[in-house]
Amino acid sequence: MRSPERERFDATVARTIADRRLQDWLADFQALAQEAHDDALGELDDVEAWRDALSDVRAHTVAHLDHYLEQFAANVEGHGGHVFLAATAADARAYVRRVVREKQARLIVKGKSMVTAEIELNPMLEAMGVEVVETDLGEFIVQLTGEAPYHIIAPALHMTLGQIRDLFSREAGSELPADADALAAYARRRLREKFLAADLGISGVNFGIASTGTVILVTNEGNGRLSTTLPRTHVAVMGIERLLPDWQSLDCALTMLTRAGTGQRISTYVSAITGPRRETDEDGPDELHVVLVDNGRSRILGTKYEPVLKCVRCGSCADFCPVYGAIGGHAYDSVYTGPVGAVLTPLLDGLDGHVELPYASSLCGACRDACPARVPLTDLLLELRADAVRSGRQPASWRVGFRGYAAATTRPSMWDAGVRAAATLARPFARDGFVRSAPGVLGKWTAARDLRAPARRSFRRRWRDPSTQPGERR
Amino acid sequence: MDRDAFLDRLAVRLRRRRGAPIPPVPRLRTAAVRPRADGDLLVRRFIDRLREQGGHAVVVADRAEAQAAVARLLDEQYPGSLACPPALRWPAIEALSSEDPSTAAFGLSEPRWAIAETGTVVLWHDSGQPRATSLVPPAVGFFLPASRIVERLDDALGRVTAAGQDVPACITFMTGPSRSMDIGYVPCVGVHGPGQTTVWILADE
Repeated sequence: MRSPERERFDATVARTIADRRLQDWLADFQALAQEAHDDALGELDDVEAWRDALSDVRAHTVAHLDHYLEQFAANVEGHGGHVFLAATAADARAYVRRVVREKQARLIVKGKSMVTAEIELNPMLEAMGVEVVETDLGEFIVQLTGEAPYHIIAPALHMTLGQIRDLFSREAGSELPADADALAAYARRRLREKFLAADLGISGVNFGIASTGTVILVTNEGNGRLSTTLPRTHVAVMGIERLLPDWQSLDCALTMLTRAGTGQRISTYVSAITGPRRETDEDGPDELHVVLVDNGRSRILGTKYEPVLKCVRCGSCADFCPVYGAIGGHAYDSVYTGPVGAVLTPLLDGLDGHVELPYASSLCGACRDACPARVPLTDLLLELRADAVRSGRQPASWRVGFRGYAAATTRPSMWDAGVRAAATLARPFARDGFVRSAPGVLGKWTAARDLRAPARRSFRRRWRDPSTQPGERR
Repeated sequence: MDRDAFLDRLAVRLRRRRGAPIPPVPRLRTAAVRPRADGDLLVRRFIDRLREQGGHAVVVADRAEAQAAVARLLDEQYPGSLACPPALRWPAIEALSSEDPSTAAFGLSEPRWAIAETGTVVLWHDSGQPRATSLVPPAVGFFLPASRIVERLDDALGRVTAAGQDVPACITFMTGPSRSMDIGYVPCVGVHGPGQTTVWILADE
């Protein structure tokens, strides 16, 4: 029997594939994103050296995470900030709840943060009666629609300008024009009031610099700066793996993140926050709390999956993934969309409930080639598939089937017999050289693709047959 | 879980002994960085790269010329008050200066450095350099001494590294106006931060 998660996955995929407008847009978006990615990285002399550098420094940091985490925490505290190491999502939520209570915060503005979505922070804050406002324009839009983000760096990617106009018009209580600048101006006015009135700002973190305890935020709109400048208290939430050893290593991390992610040489704003405001500073929050979230990451350390922790969340794996381009972001049922989500979500949340994700890939390797940190995504997807079968999360018939396949491919006589049998069996279903509707389990395959009908005589038989002529038809 | 137990757990997973020496941080091969430029080329590149990001930069002879340009801009385009740290003010502008950037029509700051490769100004927010001045007003400007333009991000980061633990509570790397593509993938500017940025490059400083 199929799980409810699998039912949901299949339904989302079917809905997305049937939506012609969305299919066309995803194709256009991917083409634009790929061009921007290639142009921006192509400007660098020896881009592969940059990739190596990012891969090496991220692998080094993750491999010595206890060291860098200790150093980072000590330096945040040395500059007057507070640090909390949260083993679980519940621990992280409890710490933030304590800060919110202590500050008696009624209105919270949030910068873009995937880890706060991962730990389900907003529902807890809302249950406390606190107003929580997402201020990244894309996050603001999906907060209003109640949907999950569609893409790691473009949360409202799936929505048209017209749909956003309708949404904002409903919010505004008056008809707004279908003009991006006018709609952005509406969001600016509405959110500016929130920024000025907020008691507390919550942000994500792109990188933490261990050598000085600095939190780096990479944004384009300025909402990240406003969320971390105007409210009296700033809570920064980050995964424990998001560290870099020092400022020098920020060079390749930032260069590769923005070029790979949005095709920019650098984003509009890069904020480097080291502790709360100093006594002589004219503005900035009085308090800084940095919450470092484990929530399953340490389980990945020391395993074959450790390289996924090198990810810098640029989203380029999704921009290049043909499967993402067909099934869209909501199929991943997680804040982490695209190929890295298909790896990360089952690792953080367990394979149960996400067993379909490692199969949401053609293993073409485009994601691996696009990744600026050289995360071997296709290898990790295959490992997860193997784990799913080994741990009995897939039907026993799979194991038997793959064992049979392995046995056949290593024994030529068995392979020959199998190929002949398959050709004979397929013949009644073939029309014009293709099998378009196969029976049983193969039907799922032919529902999405046409299978070329097997040749009357296999290649191996023709090869062995001395009467075979060059160019002879099959 | 206390901090030591938390870190011990990570070290065990990594098969490490906490406190054991760690190898040097891997670095980018220097061959991957272009040969260095200097002087006028840096200024020209900064102007071009900022323009590509929707910002505007212009070379002026000295600070007085930049001040006159700001006064003209306030008069013609941004009537209202000016958010400007006291050290940057000049007598003619004193009456327009405001302590509250949230009501100001224009914000003026002085970057610590600028990066030619990306068209970025680097703002060092210590005393006398508020964060809000370059963030809250709808349009902002910068007085940038030409000698402060460095070539690449790593040149600026090297200077931050040299500050050691004396880094300020906030450093901002700012490149052009606030921008977003979140509404139907249509580029728009001035979503939260300023929609217009102008840099006056002071040739004599």
